Amino acid sequence: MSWSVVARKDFQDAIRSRGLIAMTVLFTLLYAGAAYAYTFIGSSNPQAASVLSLISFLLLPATILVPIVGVFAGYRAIAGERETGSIKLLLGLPHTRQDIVIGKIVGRSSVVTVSTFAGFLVAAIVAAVLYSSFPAVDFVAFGVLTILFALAFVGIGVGISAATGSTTKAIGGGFGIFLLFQFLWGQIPDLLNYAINGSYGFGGRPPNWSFLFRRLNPQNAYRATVNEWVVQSPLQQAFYQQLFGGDVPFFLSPWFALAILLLWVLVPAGLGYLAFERADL
Amino acid sequence: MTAIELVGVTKRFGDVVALRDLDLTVENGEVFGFLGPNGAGKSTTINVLLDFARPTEGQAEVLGMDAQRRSQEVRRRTGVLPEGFRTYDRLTGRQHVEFAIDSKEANDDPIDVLERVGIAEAADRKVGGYSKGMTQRLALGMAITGEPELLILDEPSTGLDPNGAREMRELVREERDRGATIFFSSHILEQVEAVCDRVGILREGELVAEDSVSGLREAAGTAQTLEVTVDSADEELLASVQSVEGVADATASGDRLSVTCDPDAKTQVLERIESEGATVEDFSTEEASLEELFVSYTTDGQSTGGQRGRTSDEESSEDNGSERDENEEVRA
Repeated sequence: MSWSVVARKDFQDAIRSRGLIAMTVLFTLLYAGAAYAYTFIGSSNPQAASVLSLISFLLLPATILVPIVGVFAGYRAIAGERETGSIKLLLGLPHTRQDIVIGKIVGRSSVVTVSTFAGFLVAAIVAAVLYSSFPAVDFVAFGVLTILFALAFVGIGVGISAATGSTTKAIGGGFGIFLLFQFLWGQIPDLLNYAINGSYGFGGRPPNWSFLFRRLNPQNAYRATVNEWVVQSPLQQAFYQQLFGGDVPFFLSPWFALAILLLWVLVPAGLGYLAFERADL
Repeated sequence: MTAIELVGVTKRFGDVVALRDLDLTVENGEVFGFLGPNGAGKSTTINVLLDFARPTEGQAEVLGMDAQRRSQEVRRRTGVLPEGFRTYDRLTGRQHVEFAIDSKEANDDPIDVLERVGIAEAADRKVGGYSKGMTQRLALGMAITGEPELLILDEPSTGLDPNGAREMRELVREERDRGATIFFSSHILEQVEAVCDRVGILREGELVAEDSVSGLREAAGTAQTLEVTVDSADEELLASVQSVEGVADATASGDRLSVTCDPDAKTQVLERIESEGATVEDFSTEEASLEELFVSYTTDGQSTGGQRGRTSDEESSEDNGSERDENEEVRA
């Protein structure tokens, strides 16, 4: 398997990058620190603090930090090799461009997985020591979903990296997309409505497509899966039940959210590959 | 069977034509020197062979396979030393060679490969600390792993000291003796004439000469340089001399004209100078070297003297050292 050779080489190379090591340390400190700090914030009695409420507490920084980590891990993957010229060494060997894109995604994803896993492991140890109970399954599920969320942004980063020959454009594009999801995406249905109907706000229940649109944001999809499967907060479901009168559309289910995350891993990378395949190097 | 066959290959980048209707054939088992000044299109040709770039028109075949559609298979049987590449600074030399071995599904021993290119002692050092010459040796090592049928070496002596360039040529000979075809590009003739069976000279995207080295030597032996001192030389006179039949090149330096031409054309050249109203004060003839011939192929009657300055630290090649010594005198 040619892509696995590329992936292995890429992992060996990227894991030695100082930037990624620094990122892992930052990640670890954040999660372990949060787990420790939460024993004071969550309750006057540390023993009463629960892992589940810790996870909901961690969800906000994770939705912001993880995309940055993913884009950061991916943006140099192919554009960097084209800029320096190491792509000539890589493609002088018998790899197809498809092998390169797949290998790069797998390689960078592995790096992000190792980095996230290290952070979560330390946080889990802190939580296991400080908290009265430690539901390991919940914590592992949270870790897996977070890694999948990170991979969506690795896919976006590698996809843009493949499509452009410049790391400047790749990092700009990657963070542009992050900012779009972070700040603008949720406003787009309202803006569209304003452009079409001239009124701001939907007046009553927003149309279904606006829920679908918001859910397509990988940050929202990630939050939905964690809330549904890990935290199992009754609030979200109760809200939808009330809003849709017991007939909640399928696209608000956690499985659909999971599919959205997977699509974010694959589609940008696939589009990036198509552009890369046509490019003269 | 042919190792490389280009038929009518044209490559345009926007308005710039990098290759113009290029036809080129390299036979199996030969060492082919692909010559031309920087920017002539040598790397573009190699990029087409490796599918780094796609031809605008025409077709390229390598080892009997379409270079674009079956590129992976082409590269599985080809060793590549690209130009302007970079290594992975955080990985060691051994890891680089292992990567090449794994990629080609070969079973060489990385240390054997590194020994052949003379950097085995640096096998476990990170490549970021290698010198330019060591990096070049490493890439050459990656190219020869897996006993490729064809070696494509783009400016292989870049960054090598004279000793390194000699070792590189020895390696090329070893690979040829093993049965490999070698396609070797350079902008410096002396690097290829010592090892190549045949050379092609590329200029502005067109093949201007294709011959065996001995054929080129013969041509060089018959061409002569006529040195003429006149009372006054100007552009008009120079242009007139250049238009004489049998003149390959003519340059002026003060009142001295250097004319590269067939021996038969000498009299006509002198007659032309006189008929243009100039007075011939002195003249002498010298045999042109292979290098002068190369220069005349690759420049457009520009100042030959300026072009022939050595662009590399390459030593004089073994085979024609004496010939070059004569030229030094001519130049002096």
